[in-house]
Amino acid sequence: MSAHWGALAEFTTAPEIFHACEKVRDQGFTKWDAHTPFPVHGLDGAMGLSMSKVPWIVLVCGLTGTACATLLQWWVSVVEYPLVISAKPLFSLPAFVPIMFELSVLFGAFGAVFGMLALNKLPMLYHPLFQSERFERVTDDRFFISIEAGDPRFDTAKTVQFLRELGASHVELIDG
Amino acid sequence: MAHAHAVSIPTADELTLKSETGFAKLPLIGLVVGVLGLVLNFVMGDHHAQNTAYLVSYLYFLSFGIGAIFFVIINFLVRSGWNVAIRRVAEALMLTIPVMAVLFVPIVLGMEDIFHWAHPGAADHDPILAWKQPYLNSGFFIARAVAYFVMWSVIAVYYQRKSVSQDTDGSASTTRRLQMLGAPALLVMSLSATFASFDWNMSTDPHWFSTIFGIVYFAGSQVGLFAFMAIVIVALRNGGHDRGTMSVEHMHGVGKMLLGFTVFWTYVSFSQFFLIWYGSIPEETMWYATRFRGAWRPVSFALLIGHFILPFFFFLTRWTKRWSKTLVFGSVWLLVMHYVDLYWQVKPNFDADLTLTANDFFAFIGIGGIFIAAWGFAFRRHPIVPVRDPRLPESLSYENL
Repeated sequence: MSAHWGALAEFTTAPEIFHACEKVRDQGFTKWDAHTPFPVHGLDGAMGLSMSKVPWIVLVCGLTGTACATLLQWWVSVVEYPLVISAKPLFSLPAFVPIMFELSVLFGAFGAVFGMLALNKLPMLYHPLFQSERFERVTDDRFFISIEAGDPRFDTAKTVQFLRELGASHVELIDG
Repeated sequence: MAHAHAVSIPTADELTLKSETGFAKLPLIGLVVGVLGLVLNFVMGDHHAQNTAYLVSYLYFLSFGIGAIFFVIINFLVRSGWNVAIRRVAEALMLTIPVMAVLFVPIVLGMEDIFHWAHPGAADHDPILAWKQPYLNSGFFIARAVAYFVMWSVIAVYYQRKSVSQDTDGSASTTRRLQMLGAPALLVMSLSATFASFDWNMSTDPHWFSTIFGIVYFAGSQVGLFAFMAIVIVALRNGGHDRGTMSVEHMHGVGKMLLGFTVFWTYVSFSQFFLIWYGSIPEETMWYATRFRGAWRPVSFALLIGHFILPFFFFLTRWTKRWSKTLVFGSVWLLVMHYVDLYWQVKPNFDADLTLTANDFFAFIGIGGIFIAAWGFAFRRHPIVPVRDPRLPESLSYENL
């Protein structure tokens, strides 16, 4: 492993980074990322990203919400404070449905937001890329591809050369 | 954006169904089956079986046209672009409405038999009916029906004509005009469809009422509409009639609507049940009491499972909406469930025991045949994609995340 964190390539337009991503993907890199000031349509395909795992997290969280709501209402209405309402049985599933629905949605939404944050390793207070002054323009008008030195295919000289050939306007090495 | 599929727009001629395609044969086949079914329905069985079977199938096939009008005007209203490539399917469905207006005649003729309140003298010894008589009386009932069909037909024909006119002039001002008229049209549709469902469906039990009833009918109509559209889109793609304009993304889009409205149907159907069940007032609960007794009880639970739980989890995942076979399977399933739903809403009011008759079948293929004939006739008359709609390019590059 080199002393560098990785390489950072700067592009000026969205189509440039789009096609560059396709080539980085085809080279078989795994530890790399694209950074853009706005969502570029189809970039996930160009990067070869697999489907997000967030839907599964949402499903599990949603069903957990359903189960929690059922348990909560059963415990409250049947065990802890039995109270006959409207001549219904203590355990009346139809009466529990609104809360079951709401908690499913709430837990599902939590799963979506916090699951997304966790998968993105956020919040992250420091990242080696922040060392680059040029990288500040990623929130404005520049597009970047970063390849980590930890990638098995990373080779300092060759990767920098490869990124230059992709049409990057500037390539720099980021310290670890 | 740098995109793989930039679809070029085929010509209007390429997108017009040729007479040798299966779709072009629908009007004739539908008409033959339809007339045969209608004749058999009104020859076999007693009046009561004929009329009630007719009403259920009528409400079923009517729902597609109503659902299609809602779909088209809402899409204009919200300036939606994704639907444009598949909108002609719904536009042809809108045009089934004037035909359904003609098919309403047997309901008027069988009125006294179908609607207890229309029985001469029914209100004499029934204070509830007497109180409702200013609304529930034969004359006003027929006048309202005429008004509904006039409003629906005007909206349907207007939107369809305007869309077809764009095939030649490609005028953006037409789109703007249809967008602007979307709001009043939606208002008219919401109120008229609600009251139509009160009149033709809810009033079969004239003592009972539910203010959310119209929305339940609307929700069901959307489920039926998207199931129908999904099947047609897959068939058009398989036959290559769409010339690449209808993509997997459009299937996915329709699949999402199908999932959404399955949930919406459940939401409003449960809302109706929930308040009545909790309130426990006999005049309200009797409607459900009939449906939770005897042979209707399993039907009620079959709806809960078949119209919600199974399709919900089936369509929850992405690939079932994008693969033709699963999308068609789910759509056919929901088309069946949509019928079961209406059957379950109407029939128990006439028959505390669940008795399937041959009339149910004959009325179904009878009205269904005419309905398919009308749709097929309207669908093949114009290009199956609005080729010069300003939003067509947007629709062709539509993508689901």
